[in-house]
Formats: sequence, structure tokens, C-alpha cells
Amino acid sequence: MDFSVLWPNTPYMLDGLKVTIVLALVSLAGSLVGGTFLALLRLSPWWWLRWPAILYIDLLRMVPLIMVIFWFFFLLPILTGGPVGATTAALAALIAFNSSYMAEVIRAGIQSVSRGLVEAGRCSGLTYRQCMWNVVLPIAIKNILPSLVNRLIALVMGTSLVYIIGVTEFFRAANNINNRIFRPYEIYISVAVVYFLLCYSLSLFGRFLERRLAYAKTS
Amino acid sequence: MNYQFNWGIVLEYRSLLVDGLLVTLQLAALSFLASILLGLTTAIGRSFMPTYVSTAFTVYVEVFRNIPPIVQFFFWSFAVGLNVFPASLVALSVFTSTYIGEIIRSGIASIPKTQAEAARSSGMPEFYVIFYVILPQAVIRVIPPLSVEFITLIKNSSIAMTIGLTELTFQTQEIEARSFRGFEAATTVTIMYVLLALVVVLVMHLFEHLVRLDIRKG
Repeated sequence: MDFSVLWPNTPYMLDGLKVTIVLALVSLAGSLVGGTFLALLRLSPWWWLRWPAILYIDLLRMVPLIMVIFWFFFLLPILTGGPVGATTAALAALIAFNSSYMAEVIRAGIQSVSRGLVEAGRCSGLTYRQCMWNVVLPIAIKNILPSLVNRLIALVMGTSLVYIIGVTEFFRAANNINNRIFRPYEIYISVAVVYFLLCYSLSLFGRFLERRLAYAKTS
Repeated sequence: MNYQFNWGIVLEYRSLLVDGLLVTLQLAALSFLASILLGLTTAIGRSFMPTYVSTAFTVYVEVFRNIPPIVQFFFWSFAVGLNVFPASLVALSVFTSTYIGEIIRSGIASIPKTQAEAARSSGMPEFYVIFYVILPQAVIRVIPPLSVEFITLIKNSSIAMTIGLTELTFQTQEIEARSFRGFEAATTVTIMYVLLALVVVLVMHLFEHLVRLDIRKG
């Protein structure tokens, strides 16, 4: 094994890594927004808001991410009537998919806020919406930070799957190099190491948040 | 929207879909078995073994759960050079075993320490303490999260298409390549995955019910 053959290719790999990180950050932001709205709909007192949200969340969680990516890849051109870039399709799929998981995490967070607080907020004259945005959500988000970090790890690993529709993110970049210099051992091991460092440091951060949260609860 | 849908394509290529479904089921069943065995080993290793053994298993879990499955599939297939099906089986089993191991380990941790202590002080050898006292109780408790993990495994088995295993997701591409009807194919396969997950939920529910009844009878 000779890892030095990879040196000339590092700029190309780094470009791919940048795409992976951008994909992860954009779909994180998108799925946080989407997930929050889905969670609020899911907890809505009105059934005609609640049921579609339940259907969406549960359906998306039963389908493999690859299928969702394919599906958006084929759906978007039909909807817009013209060609749609692979990156757009990939982002749409990642956001749609991860929103459903985020929604469940956020819902758990909202339900972890004690009823007393909500009732106190409502009693002091806040509307349902004000109470949600200003009282419940800030506490809920603090409670679910560790689970959000875990979702972020899954999300980062998920970005490697957009490889199949031709987005040149980190994994595809590595494959392109492998097709040229054919050094599968060196390439896949270094790819694995990079992903591992990324995900493992995130998971250590998640554990740190979890400890701090446990500490805050006991003190 | 000027797209003309053609759902007849689903019937026309049904044999591809059935073949794909069978491969998916085969892969999922075999790797679920393998990952339970591997997961059980890591859970026992991390819960009952001396520090250097348990550290080794901790490293195994942390390494393989923090590498995206697609990278693992490619590694076993193109770097190690296994055939498509064995490579998928190994990749999927190893990746899933890290999660199943953690689930079983938390099941073991949920059994009160006094159980093991009572067993040991009544003179049971360690082997019996683990396999006759702790594990049976722990395994029963983790059946619900294991069934969730099985659904996750079925979903992850779709990644095997990237190394060329002709499972269900692969057939989407196949139908798209033959007929340019990607959307209809993708929708049908998506529905098939949903149905598969629903069947698993139902079966696991029944199974759980049976096992729990069994315990109550004592």
C-alpha cells in the first residue's frame, strides 16, 4: 500500500469534500426548518393539519434514502417541465428525507417541555403561536441538541448517497480518481478515514452536549 | 406538466421487480442474522470482558458506525475484491451490527446488577450467568428496537445497488434504462419498500406479543 499516490489528487478530493460539507450544511438548515414546521403540524390540535404531517413523516421514514434521491431526480423534471441539475435534485431529496427524521426529534423535544410551562404561558395571555415560538421551542431545542447532532451525523453519511445521481461530492470525487489511477485500497481507506474523523468528532461533540445537559438538569 | 404517465410499465416489467424483491429479502434476512450474531458478540465483549477486549470492541463499533455504508460497500467490493453478494452481506452486517450491538448492550445494562450478583453468589459459573440469567432477559427487552433496526437494514440494503447487486432499487435503474420511465418505476419501488416495512412492523408486533405471553406464563 502506498498512500503517496494520492498526494497529487488531494486538491480534487478537497473540492469534493467542500461539496459534501455544503450539501450537509444546506440540507441541515433546510431540514431543521422543514422538520420544525412538520413537528408543529404533527402536534396541531386540528386533524386536517395533523394527519397529512403524520402521513408524510411516517412514509418518508419507511423509504430508503437512495429511493428518495431517485424519486426526486425523476420527479423534479416532470414538475418543472425542464432539465433540473443533479445538485438541486440531491438537495431537494436530502431536505425532504431528513425533514421527516428531524420532525420526530423536534416533536420529542416539544413534548419534553412540561405542560405547566405551556399552561402558564397561555394563562398569561400568550396565543398558541406565541407560546410555541417564545416558550416551548427555545427549551425544546436545548433539550434535543444531542439528538440533533446524531441526526447531523446520519445526514453527513447520507450525503455520500447522492453519488448515484452524479453529484461530485467527496465520495464521487474519490471514485473518479480511482477510475483513473486504480488504487482502491488506498483510496477507499483514506475516504473512510476522512468520513470517520468528520462523524466521530461530531459524535464526541454530541456526547459532550449530552453530558452538559445532564449536568444542567441535576444542578 | 406535459408528462404522459405510463403505469403499464409496472406490469410489463413485473418480473424484474419480483426478482429484485427476492434479492432484497435474501440479503436483508441473511445480514440481519449475521448482524445479530456480530452484535451479540460485541455486546457481550463490551459488557462482560476484561478492559482490553472491551476496548477492542468499542473501537470496532466506533469505526464501523462512523463510516458511511456506501464507502463500506465499495471497500469490500472493489478494494477487498469480494463478489457482489458477499460484499453486500459483509458491509451490511458489519454496519448494522454496530447499532444492534449497542442496542443489546443497553438491554444488558438495563438488567439490575443484583441479578448477576445473585447468580454468582449461588455458585454459577460466569458462562451460565451470562447466557442463562442476563442475556435471555436482555434479549426479550430489546426486541422492539431490534425490529426498528431490521427496517433500517432493509432500507440500507438498497445501497447494494451501487456495487451492482440486482436488488429492488437496482431494478428502478434497470427499468429506467430500458423504458425511460424512471418516475413510474421509482414510485412503484418506493411503494414496495413502504409495504415491506409495514409487513415487518406487523410481523414483529405479533412476534413480540407471542414472546411476551410466553414470559407471563413463566
